[in-house]
Amino acid sequence: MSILVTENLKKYYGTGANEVRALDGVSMEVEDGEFVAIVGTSGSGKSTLLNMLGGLDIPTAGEVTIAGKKLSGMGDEKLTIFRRRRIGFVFQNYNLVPILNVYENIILPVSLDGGKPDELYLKKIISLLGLKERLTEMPGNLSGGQQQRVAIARALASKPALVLADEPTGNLDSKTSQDVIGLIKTSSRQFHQTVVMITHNEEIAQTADRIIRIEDGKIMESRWTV
Amino acid sequence: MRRSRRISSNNNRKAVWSLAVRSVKSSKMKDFFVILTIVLSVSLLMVMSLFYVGMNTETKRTVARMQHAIYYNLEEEQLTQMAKDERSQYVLSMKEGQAVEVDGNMVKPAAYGKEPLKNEGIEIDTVTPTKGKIPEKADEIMLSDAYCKLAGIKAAPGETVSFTWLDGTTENYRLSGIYHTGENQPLYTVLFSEAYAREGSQLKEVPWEGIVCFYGADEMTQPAFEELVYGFGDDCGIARKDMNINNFFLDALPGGDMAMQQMMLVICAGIGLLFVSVLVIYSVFYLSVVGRIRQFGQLRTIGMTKRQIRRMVRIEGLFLSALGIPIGLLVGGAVSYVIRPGGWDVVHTLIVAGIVTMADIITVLISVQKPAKKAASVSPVEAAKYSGYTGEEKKKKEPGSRTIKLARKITPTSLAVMSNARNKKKTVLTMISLGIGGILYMLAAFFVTSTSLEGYARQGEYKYGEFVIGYSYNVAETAKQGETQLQKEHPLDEKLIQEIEKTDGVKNIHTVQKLEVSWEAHGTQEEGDDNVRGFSKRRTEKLKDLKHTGDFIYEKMVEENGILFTRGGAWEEVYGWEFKPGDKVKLSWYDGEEEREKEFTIMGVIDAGDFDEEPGDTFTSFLIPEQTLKSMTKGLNLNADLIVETDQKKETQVGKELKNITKQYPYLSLGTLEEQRLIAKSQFTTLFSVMLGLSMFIIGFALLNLLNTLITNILTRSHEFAMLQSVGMTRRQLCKMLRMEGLILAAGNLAVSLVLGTAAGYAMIQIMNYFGVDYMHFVFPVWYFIGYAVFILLVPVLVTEYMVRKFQKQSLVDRLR
Repeated sequence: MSILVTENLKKYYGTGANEVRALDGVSMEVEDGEFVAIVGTSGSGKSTLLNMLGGLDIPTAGEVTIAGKKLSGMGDEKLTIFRRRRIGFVFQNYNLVPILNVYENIILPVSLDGGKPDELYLKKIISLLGLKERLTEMPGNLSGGQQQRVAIARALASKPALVLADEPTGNLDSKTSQDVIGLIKTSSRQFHQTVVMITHNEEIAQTADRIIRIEDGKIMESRWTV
Repeated sequence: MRRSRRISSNNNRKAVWSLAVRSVKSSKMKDFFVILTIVLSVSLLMVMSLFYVGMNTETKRTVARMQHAIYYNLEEEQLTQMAKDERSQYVLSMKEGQAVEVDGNMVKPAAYGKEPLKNEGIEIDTVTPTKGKIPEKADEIMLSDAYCKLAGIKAAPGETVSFTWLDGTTENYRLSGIYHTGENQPLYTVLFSEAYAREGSQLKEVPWEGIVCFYGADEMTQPAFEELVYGFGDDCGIARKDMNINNFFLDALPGGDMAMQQMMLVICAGIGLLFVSVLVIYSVFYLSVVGRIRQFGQLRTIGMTKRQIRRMVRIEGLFLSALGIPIGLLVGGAVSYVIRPGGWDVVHTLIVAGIVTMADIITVLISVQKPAKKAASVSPVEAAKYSGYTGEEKKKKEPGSRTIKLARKITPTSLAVMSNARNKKKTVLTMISLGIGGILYMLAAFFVTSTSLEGYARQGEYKYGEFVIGYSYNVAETAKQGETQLQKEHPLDEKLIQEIEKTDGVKNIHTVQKLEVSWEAHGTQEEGDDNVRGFSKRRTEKLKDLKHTGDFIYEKMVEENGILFTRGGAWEEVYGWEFKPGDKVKLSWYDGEEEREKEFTIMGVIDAGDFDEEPGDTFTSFLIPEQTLKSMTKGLNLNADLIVETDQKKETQVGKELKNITKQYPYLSLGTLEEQRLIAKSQFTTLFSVMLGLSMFIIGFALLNLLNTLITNILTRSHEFAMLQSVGMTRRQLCKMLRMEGLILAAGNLAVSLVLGTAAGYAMIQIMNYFGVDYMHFVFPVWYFIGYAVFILLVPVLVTEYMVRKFQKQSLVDRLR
């Protein structure tokens, strides 16, 4: 069953001679539980695609459907609520809220939804990501790798249908990068979550189930890893 | 080492300058608010300083056209002697006749000499006609426009007007001109010509007065000037009581306490204002620096030194000052001119502008110093992950203590609280800086609400009732034996009191007994202008509770002809001496049958400011034991005033009834509280409008300050908001959070304004009361505060909505970058 479907997704900036086609007719499907890596050179449109998938940006044309729900029909408010319930984000620069401690950052999407976190489930994530001892720390006191683990925990906290990761290892050294990717992969397997990850690191891309290559806003290749 | 050889100071000044200028241009909203703050602080400082300087200039200009002293009871020879004296620069003769009551209004004849007896290059303002000309012929007069309106006289030169004076003479005059006065004056002057002063029935017998100005007086200190005026009077053979210094002129001279206090007040307010400016500019710059930490990191990476970064931020501040200060100077100058055109002076304005400019540049430099340091201290590595918040040091868990709470409640409201708490010092300072405006506003509001116009109107006898029935001024002044004659011939007896008591709405009648006396002491003689009242043995103890000197015992006073003086501290200025216990005073009075006189010994002096315990106290100079007073007047009914206390709801109706009663007795006059209220109102209208205008200015400042804080706070955190939105915070939740942040600041401001403003208001009223202003009572300005609160609370709500709408236009992705 496809959890994520895009149909002829386009994002153009500017008009006439200045027109830039950041995405130019991307159609793709991601199956439930799949771990997909999107690769491409700088400016190929991979970040734009991820933003479209997460409803952070609005496409010029085309449609994104997540878990059977079309994003285009939703208003701003509805889209935000859909995002915090069904999509988890992991950003390159972590985007943790500086005034909240680690635990508060992790449960933020759930709290904003007015809900209570599933303690047992959270415990598992926290323990898996090795954050048990850091829960009352402030993000500013953590290393990059630790911050990214918090971001991953946050992305998983609301049991989303889809986790979107934008260069999650972009700011990390190679050892930490391997650890973080390992954690994303393990947690997504364990909690049966679909992951779409952007990276320009071929080695990291190889850890995914499938690699989609983008160039000039178009999908050039989509292949299963061995 | 020579400066030019430092690496950091190789030829890069231009680069730093251009970076700073570009940086300024790139964040227009921040600039707008910094410039606005500078404009506000500069213009407020300008207005405040120029208001003060202008006030002095205006006073100096006014007093430059005013007399320095007036001498009374003069012969023409004395005037001539004054003119001949080389100390005098200007001498003008004048006469003032006896006032008369005309249809309830006091009217007084007066005249100036046609030309000054001496005028060596000075112009004195006397009365300037707004229509027509100054009277020249004996039958010409000039009236005030307000009196013409009151008396139904056509205010046009050429009109014929008739007056019946105190001696019963009725004369017709021709209006030669009209001059201007405000309405509801306690006394109106009818201005005659010099010809009338010499020949006219009302002035020819009256002694002359001399209006005098002295050489070099405006360069003198207050004590030197006083010495000059009294010395000059002595040399011309004038009694001390007949010398009257122009206090307005005296106060304008250096050496007075008032000037010093005013200056201190202005300086304190100025420093307060600069402090607020520092806080606002500091917070704007701090937020702006924090928002650009990464940029500074980049600049450091590519080789900018710490010193250069600091300089760049400082230049940004100075660049914005260069834009803000001139605007502020222009606005402040213009407002000052409009407020006080009479005090405008180019040189003063330039000096003030120079000082204000310096003060504000220093303010800006102090404000940006810390942000600049912060910017310079960023290391390139830190910059990349800088979040502006590193968290507070967590207290180490003590053994056995409870574990730290894992998660606080997270809602938009609690996030707002956390956000304000992230920099407690800054939040508190912001609240205080907002609160200072609030405190000033509350002070103005307290002044307005706590000044009781009713209280002001009720000074003196009206404290005890709404109507005062007494002997007619005209009749008493013309009776040979004055008021005492009326007390004998037409006593305010039980019959009259009962008649008044019958009136519906009359609650009580207070009688005031007094005896008109002349006195002689310390070589000074006063004819019949003072009153003696009796006091009971029972009152003796109460009198001792008041501020007094001398140890008086009732019985001893009866035996040894003792008397109490009740104007302690008030006569020094008039007579140049004060009564002290043990002094002798000779009183003369009419006992109903004959003139009598007797010497008394002052046994106690009661402070004038304290003496207002019973009806009649405020116009009494001496108190005598009742027993003594009875023996002095052979049982004469000494009722002189009946103070009628009424049911307030029926005041108007009672007024009509009392008017009808007093009409039957031509020797009675009726004074009403309503007249006093009108006088109070006309005296306070201007003061209140100035206070309210000032309040509006202060509210404006507080509002802009809040607006500024809120907007910059939102602007510099757009990345943080995008972050929250990306993980699921809805627009509504974001709005709620920001609104709460603003409301917390506003609430802090209101709390500061309420608590400190009320304390300041209370202190102000206590101080005013201490100085004898007893018509001010602590009244909390409920409506003013509610109005202020509504404004201050509404601003965050509107600003947040507007700002969120504005930045929502930019896509979340852009804001996340």
